[in-house]
Amino acid sequence: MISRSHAKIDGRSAAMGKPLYVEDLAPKDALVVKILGSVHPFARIERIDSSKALALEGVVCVLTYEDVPRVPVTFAAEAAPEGSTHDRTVLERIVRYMGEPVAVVAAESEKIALEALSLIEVEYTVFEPNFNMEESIGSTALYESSEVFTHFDNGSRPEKNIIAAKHERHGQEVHEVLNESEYSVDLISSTQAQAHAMSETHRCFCSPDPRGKLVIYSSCQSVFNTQRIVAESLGIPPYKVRVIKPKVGGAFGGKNTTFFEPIVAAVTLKTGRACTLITTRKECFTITNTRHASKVRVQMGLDAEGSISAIAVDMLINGGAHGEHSFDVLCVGCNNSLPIYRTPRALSFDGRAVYTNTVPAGAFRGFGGPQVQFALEGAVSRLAWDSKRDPSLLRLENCITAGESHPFVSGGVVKSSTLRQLIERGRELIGWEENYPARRVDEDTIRAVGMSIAMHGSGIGGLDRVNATVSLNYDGSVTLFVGSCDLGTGADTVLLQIASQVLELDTEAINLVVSDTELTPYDKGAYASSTTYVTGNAVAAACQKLRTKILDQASVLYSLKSENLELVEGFIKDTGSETESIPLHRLATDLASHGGGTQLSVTSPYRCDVSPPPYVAGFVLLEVDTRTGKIDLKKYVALVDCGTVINPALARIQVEGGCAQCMGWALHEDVIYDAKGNLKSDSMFTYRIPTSMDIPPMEVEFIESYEPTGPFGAKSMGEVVFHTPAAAIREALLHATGIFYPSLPFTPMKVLKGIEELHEEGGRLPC
Amino acid sequence: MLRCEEYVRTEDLDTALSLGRAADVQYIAGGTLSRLYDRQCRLVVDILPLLDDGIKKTGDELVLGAGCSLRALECSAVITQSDLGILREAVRHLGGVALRNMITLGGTIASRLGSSELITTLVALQASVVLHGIGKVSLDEYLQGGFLNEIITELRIPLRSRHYSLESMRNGFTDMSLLHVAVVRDAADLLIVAGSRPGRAAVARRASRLYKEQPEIPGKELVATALQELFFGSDLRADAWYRKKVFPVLLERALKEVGV
Repeated sequence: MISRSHAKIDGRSAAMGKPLYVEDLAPKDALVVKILGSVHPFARIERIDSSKALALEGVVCVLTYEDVPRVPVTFAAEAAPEGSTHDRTVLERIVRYMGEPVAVVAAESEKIALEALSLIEVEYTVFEPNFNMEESIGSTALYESSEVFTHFDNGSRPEKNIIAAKHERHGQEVHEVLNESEYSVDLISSTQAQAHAMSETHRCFCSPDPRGKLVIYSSCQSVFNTQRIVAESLGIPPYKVRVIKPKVGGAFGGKNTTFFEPIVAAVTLKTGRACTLITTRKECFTITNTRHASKVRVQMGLDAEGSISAIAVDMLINGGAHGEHSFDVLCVGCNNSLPIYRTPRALSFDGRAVYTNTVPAGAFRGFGGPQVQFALEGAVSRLAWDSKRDPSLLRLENCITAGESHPFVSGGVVKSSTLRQLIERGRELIGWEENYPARRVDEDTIRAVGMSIAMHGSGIGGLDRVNATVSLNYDGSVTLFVGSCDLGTGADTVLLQIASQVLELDTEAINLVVSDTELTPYDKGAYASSTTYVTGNAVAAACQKLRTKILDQASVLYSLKSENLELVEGFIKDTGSETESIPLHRLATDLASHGGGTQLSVTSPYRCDVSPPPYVAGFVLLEVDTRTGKIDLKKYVALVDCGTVINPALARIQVEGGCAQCMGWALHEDVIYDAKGNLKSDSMFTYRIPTSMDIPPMEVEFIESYEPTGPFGAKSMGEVVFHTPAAAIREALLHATGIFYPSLPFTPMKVLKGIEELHEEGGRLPC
Repeated sequence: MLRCEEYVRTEDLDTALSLGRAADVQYIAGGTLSRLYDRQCRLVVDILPLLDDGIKKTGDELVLGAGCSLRALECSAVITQSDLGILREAVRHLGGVALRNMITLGGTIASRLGSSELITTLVALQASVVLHGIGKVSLDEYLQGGFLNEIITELRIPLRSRHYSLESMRNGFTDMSLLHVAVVRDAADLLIVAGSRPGRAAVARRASRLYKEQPEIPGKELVATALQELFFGSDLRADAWYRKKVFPVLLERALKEVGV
């Protein structure tokens, strides 16, 4: 079952439009919840009058900041205790971005709820907002120190608008090594915010069960962390909250922040009624979160022999109005990015996340990896260009390999990697030798190649804790209970494949109970590229234990020698005798009934002590229209080492989807505000994501390594597949034009501007 | 999404027109734009069932019912036989097939969107609209700003031998163009029309007239004249300087394609 393209278990139902998602399952008589957003990017509410709204027939409740506890929490649905800076409450008195929830209305219909919103009167004292992350440092603070809490020192300095910070050093002083280096670069790369633009917007509903417990169905990434955050933010015990995640229509990290579940829980607490909150596409853009915009300075040195001598990264990110995930994004920017290259003589990382009055930043596929690796790979491109070296060979010579240690890599040493093979094979597939660096196609067009390499982690080493429970049912089937969250990737299918492989049972005979705080064992949830590696390890261990228990019980029940017993394809075989094999269902029935009334059940934990890196090498062939600046992607090649590929078909679509998502970020997606802080790119009309028509022919190949700590040798792949296209495109642009473009996205306008400036300065295109 | 207090379908266009002349009323003829914008009105009059969706040749004109979908237009054998493949080019970037199945020709024209490559192309083809109760009006005149509450029932394109080209620039394949130019040349005339400036489709009249007066004039002079007479501005998709920079490139390529 491993390395087979098992169909996604719910794929057909989803394609047939079966009711699987939150909105499909919501009670039809539930109250409709609508949100009144702030009309100022930074203001204090002085008076809020809901009386007219409450007087409207059909309005059941209105909540404001006065109705919720004032204890600072964070909505980041990650670890417990959560490392993100705690700086908000369910509804705020001080609003810090345009559209931040000010009041919540629950009414009998959407129409009434919307009318009620217009009847709420709010008076504000308006403050001067700050939208620029560099200017924000040290200027008017968004928060009083008393409004902010952290579980440990994550570098938070609210008085200076610093959300979090991280500093790491290794080896010699960077400036000393740079001075000794043959070549060096000092470059700043900027990346813009990015919207998740998932198909299904944020949504959830809550209803009381007969004992008064709040049952929340949510399109979220972590049921247990959502349960914890709802409880913390409303001051109720977690056991009074049950969270269930049905099928999710895409998340990409955006639903790893618990924006709306505390709101529906608060409404149900107040009214005793079921209520539903479905965000509009506009609210999804304006209220929720984005990728952190960044400005990353990289200093890099190269020895005469071609070895990278020094790397210094200074990462500045815009956290927006709240602190969710900023600390983690800095950590990933360091630990899941810098160890792509062998340890240089000098290595340093400085990261700061800053508050501004923009939509909060949060988790997004890659989590700091895309920003830093875009900057880092840009430095390699430029070093190669300046030193007249082939950048693919420079990477080949300097990339980390299996067995090598690195001070920043999880666990200290790389145990599995085919990165060098990825680069070599990618060069062949893109036709590097024929196309490098660039050639003129016609009077207006230059064709060029570029590449980049990337790494990530598999789960959070030293932090992630999950469990899996597996039970043998009376009919010989098995039930697997896991608290992980499939976000549409097919993670549930992969877990079933792992269970099927260990137990030698068809996946059809394995029931799956997932993502329900009441029914499944604790799992941290779907983030940090972890379900296959982290939860998969727990599933494999639990199934292995169940297998042993089955044979032990067969030995007792049927008086057989346990050392002679094997479980093969649903039968217990006695290798020590000629007797007929015993069907597993017979053992299960015997056990459950006259055999002693036993149901075999095993729970196995998995402590994720290390986070082994998966790798990608991405290669692009593109053409640049030098008179319009338009980039035309002709071909993309992605070579991937995610260890053992459990499900090749699902893995392939992860690669294709991740690359496509990055191509949108690289070429045209942009989060744009006007001068007052209104988000202008607040619809799918103004915020364009790439379609299949924008994506070039793509070749994907896997070159497997074997990760000794992974289930069947597997590592992660959900995030690493995002990282390469932006840097590869920039490198190809450098080859085509000789221009190092410092910032994304590479719109035709930006590319042409670079070419115009080159001409104005008397420069010439390289070919 | 457009929200309304009342939604009606009428028996005939006369009734629709009389309702449409009142305040705070919106016609819809496919309703796709109405999904995009967050607006509210008192009454929505859905005229789609009253609109013909046929595409046929009549004498020396191609007659398209206002209710015909952009997808129908894209797939029409009549259009292909009429040597008007440029219409397919004008719509193929708009969303996907599902969207083009819903968007109607009449709805597109009535929107008067500056970013519509179809409108620009139709102006270049010297098309006319037929307005209910008024009759035939040139599309160019219709776009000048009048006829606000009128209902388009037909679009008529004169059939004649011509060369044409549509050049566009866009950030993503299905994104609205950030600039486009349509050029149509027949035996006597050359018409240059630019859209996504970002204003409405505009005819480069001086350049077009210059060609009529001096058919041998170099394309470069036509480009310079057109650049001078048209206004280019900034919006979310591009700045004015970029539009000014790229317009000559697109126009030069289009002129080359039509043999100027």
